[in-house]
Amino acid sequence: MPTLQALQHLYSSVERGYRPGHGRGFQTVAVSRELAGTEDLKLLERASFYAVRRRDVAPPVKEVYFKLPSGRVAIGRTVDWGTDPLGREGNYLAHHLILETGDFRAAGADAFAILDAAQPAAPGTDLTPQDLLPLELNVSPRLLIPPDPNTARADLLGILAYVLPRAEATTEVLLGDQPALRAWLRALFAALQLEERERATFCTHFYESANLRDLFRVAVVGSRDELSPKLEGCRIYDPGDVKPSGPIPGEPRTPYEQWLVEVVGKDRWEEVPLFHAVLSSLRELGSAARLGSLSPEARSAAWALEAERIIPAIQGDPELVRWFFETEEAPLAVAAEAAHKLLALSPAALCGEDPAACQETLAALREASKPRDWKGWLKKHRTSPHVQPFLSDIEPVWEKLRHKLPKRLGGK
Amino acid sequence: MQLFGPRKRTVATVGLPGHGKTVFLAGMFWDSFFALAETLKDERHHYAVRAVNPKADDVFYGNAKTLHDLSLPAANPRTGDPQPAVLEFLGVPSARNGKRSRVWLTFYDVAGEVFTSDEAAREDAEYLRHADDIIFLFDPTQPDFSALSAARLIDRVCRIVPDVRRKQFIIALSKMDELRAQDEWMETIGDYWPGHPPSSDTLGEYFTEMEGLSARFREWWTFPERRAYSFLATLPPNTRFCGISSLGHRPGKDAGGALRLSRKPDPFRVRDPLFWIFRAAKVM
Repeated sequence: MPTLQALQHLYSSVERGYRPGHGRGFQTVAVSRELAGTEDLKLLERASFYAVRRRDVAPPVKEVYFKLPSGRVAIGRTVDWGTDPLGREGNYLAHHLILETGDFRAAGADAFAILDAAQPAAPGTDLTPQDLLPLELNVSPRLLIPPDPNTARADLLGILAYVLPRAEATTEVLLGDQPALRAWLRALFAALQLEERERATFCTHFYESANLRDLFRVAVVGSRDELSPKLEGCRIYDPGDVKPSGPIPGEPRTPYEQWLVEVVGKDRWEEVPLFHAVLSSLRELGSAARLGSLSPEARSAAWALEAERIIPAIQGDPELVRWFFETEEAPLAVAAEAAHKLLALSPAALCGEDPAACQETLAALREASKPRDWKGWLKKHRTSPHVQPFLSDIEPVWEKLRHKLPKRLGGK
Repeated sequence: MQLFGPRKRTVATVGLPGHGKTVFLAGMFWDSFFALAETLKDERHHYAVRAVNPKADDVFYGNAKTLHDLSLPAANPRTGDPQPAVLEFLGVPSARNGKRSRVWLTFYDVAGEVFTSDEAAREDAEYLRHADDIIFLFDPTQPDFSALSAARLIDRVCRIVPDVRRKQFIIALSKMDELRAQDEWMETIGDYWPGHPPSSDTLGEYFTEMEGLSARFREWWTFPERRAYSFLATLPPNTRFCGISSLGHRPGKDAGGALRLSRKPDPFRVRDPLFWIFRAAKVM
């Protein structure tokens, strides 16, 4: 559980704010001294905007994650704050937490987990103009809470799932019930990898905020009525449409993107924790433990992402190598590529020292390899005890025929 | 100018935070919807107002509903993406020939904070450059009101708006319901309070009153308490002056500190800025 220090920013409509000359109204009320007078603070103030439609009986909660000019990141929550100093309703409180990028990564780049830990804009927040001390946060590992499949169009969000990891500049605008879509976003972000989550800036209430579109990769609005014409060029996910409008997303390009579509579109969220555990194991320990427990799509995704790490992880373990070639049905090209790489190893390096224990593995390898690769490998290692049962594969034709002839006719 | 279809004008409301911009727009819509729709109709013609786009529906009907529930419109936050709210006024009568016209007015209602600095105004009130009519609202009961603060605000707008002489400036003082009790106001306001909406037959007289009031409210700025001669000298020549009360009475506060009306709004001369706009559009 990493402990982080977050700078803070509070913004509301008050009689007197952080800058005494400002007068009454919406303004920065309190802020960490490190941010005063910076470009970061200017952007925080712009991003504090929060509007609701008059018909919104229960004002929505706005949660944001975006990047600041300094390279730091801001995570915030804005809530209805009752009346302003004049007694007018429509006041709100925006509370931002500002983190160094390294700290954010240490927390798994999980803005939702940070919001859980800090509970910003909580009732009773002190709105006295002041320099705010950094807030100490104990961030718990992210939890995946599968969203209710009946609250949104899973097929449409499946497209978001494979588009989001791409490093595009387009804002993906989701239309629908904002709390429900927040739950979907949270689950989807948990399925992403750290660097993808880090890129996936978001805003869960984007009404009249088109001027802030550059800040957010994903934005949620309640309905089509709330869309600004200035959102032209964004990809709009309207539950009433078959596909998103705007830039064409194309098809999933990689096994990883295909797996994300399966997870979101077919309610397979239970695969996510294991997938990330396997990836972590590969990346941090060089171990392929539990790789065999993944679904074929998840294994393909893991292979596509970590091919370089998987080969060293499974080599020398006949069971894992065999598993790989026997069960890797979905990505045929991937398996052939893996076989090609594995055939660069010696039989002992590939399957361990015991020739008897690796025969099934080599049989599986033979099936998955291109014949030319397999035969070349056998020729190279023909003296190895591991490959003796397979040498018939490289015998000349006449030798093979001799095997079939009866002994009295010169056969073996 | 369009040969066919309604005349169109863009209207900006400008004022410091809490000086009544949003309540003015709410009161103006309320007055047109209820009072003027009743008095400006005759056997053949009707006066009406309707929301043309979703933003107008939200702002004008939403705020009218709020007033109907005896609450006050919510404060406007600062946005860099102000949305136009378009109202169509139908059956606007001409005082000269009785001809009826329709006109589309595009309103922008933004937070007062936008006008607290040049930078903010340039960023968030770009529409001011295209506005035909700019209504400046001042609430003399607010502690931050003075001739200096008013002049400063108008100078700021003039710095970001090209060729202000082509725009119609309307300087409106709000809270007439509270101010009329003060001595200096009795003379000016007492004769007109509580005010009656004109009919199409009395429009001419009403305009005469508007012009007379404009001259007297202009004079108000020169009273010894203000001595705003410099302020007046820099205004465009066709600047109009008004005095309004968007609600007709002072709201109180409930137990939670929220403003509440004690009865339905009864706006006072909140239509005057609208009529100045209609006249500039040559439809009234």
